[in-house]
Order: sequence, then structure tokens, then C-alpha cells
Amino acid sequence: MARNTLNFLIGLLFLVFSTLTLARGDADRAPLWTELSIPERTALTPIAYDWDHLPAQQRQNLLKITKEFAKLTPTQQQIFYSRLQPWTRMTQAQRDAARDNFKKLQEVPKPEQAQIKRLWTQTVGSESAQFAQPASGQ
Amino acid sequence: MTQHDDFARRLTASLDQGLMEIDTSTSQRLASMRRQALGGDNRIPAGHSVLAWASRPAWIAGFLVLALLLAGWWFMQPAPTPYSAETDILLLTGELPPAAYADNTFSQWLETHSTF
Repeated sequence: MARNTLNFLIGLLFLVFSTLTLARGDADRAPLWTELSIPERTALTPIAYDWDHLPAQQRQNLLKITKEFAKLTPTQQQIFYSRLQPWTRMTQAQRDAARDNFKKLQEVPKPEQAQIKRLWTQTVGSESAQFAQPASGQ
Repeated sequence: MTQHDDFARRLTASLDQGLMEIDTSTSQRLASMRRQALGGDNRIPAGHSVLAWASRPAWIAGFLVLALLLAGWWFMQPAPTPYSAETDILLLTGELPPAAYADNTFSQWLETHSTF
């Protein structure tokens, strides 16, 4: 009885650790640049040299974005290209702050949004080169 | 004969005497239990309560390990991204660059200027 229980426990523990190891492997898994498809590489061209050094989770998020790339207009694709590298070089906290503020702005009525964007560009944005517009999109 | 041998002899004699004094029904019950123990008869005690089920440690251990497995799997799942790919693509192709939104003063600035 005791031996059966012990064998049962050892078997279950082995199963637990195997499953957890596999799960961890899947979570950490993100394709290398050479493993990407042609459309994915096309969308991620500006960060080709950085790709393999990015955290797995960030690569997974960027891969989801690439699915939307083909739907963009050529002008939007140009803007996307110019902003992709600075975006990936921001810290996670900065990206989250940007998303938060973007969401907040989306909640403002459209006419106000345009006015806020214009004012920001004219006042704060013009004070810093980092806010310079890459192209006139949308 | 040592003192220990003498003690052992008296003890076994006493036990043998006691064995002969056991009545038939008790003797049969003991024999039955001995056979059960040696034969590996692991039937659970009669009864339908949870306690009867729980008297099998293998089941409890298995249940606990499976619970741990599920908890571990749940904890190891990556935290759901609160923003969709659509949000990121809009942010990356919008009128303002992402750096503007990431600016520490933007949120405060937004609150001040969104009351037109």
C-alpha cells in the first residue's frame, strides 16, 4: 500500500514538473528573425537587427501587430516604419503609459481630440524634437 | 542460561498460555484479519461518507497534486495583454507619435485641455 502510494506520488510529481516545464517553454518561445514569414519580416523590417534581442513577450505582441500591417495604407505603413524602432526601444512602462494616454484620448469626443492633438503639437510637441511628426498620416 | 534467556522463555510461555485461552470466535476473527493483512486486501471500510473515501491517502495526495498542477499552470499563464494589437497599430500610425503619449505630462495636460 505504502509503496503503491509512493509510486503514485512520484509519477504525479513527474507529470506536474514535466507539464510546468513544457508550459514555461511555450511561454518563453518566440520565433527568431530567420523563422519569420515574409509578410512578418516585411512589417518588421525596421527592427530586423533588434528582433532576436527583444524579450519573447514583446516579440509575441509585435507579431500580432504585423497581422494588421497589410491593411494599412502606404502612408500609414511609412509612419509605422518610422515609429517602430523607437517604440521597441521604449521601456515597458513607457509603452503602457502611451497606451493608457492613447485610450484616454480616444474617450474624448472627436472634435476635441483633434484640437488637443493640434495644441499638443503646437505647444509641448514643438519644444522637443522627439515629438516631430514623421509624416502627415490619417 | 542468562537472565535474558530466562525472561524470553517466561514471556513466550505466558503468551502461549494466553493464546490457548482465547475463545474460538476471537481466534477466527484474528485469523481472518491476519489473512486480510497478508493478502493485501485493501477494501475501504464500509460506509458511504466522505471520510470513508478520504481514508485512502493516495486519492488525497493525487487530488492535491492535481490541484497544484492546475494552480501552477494558471499562474504560469502570461498575464493577458490589456491592449489589443489594434490599439498598438492605431498608436503607431496615429497623428501623434507614441513618444508624445508616453510623456509624463501628457495625461495631466489632457485633463487640463479636454474641458473645452
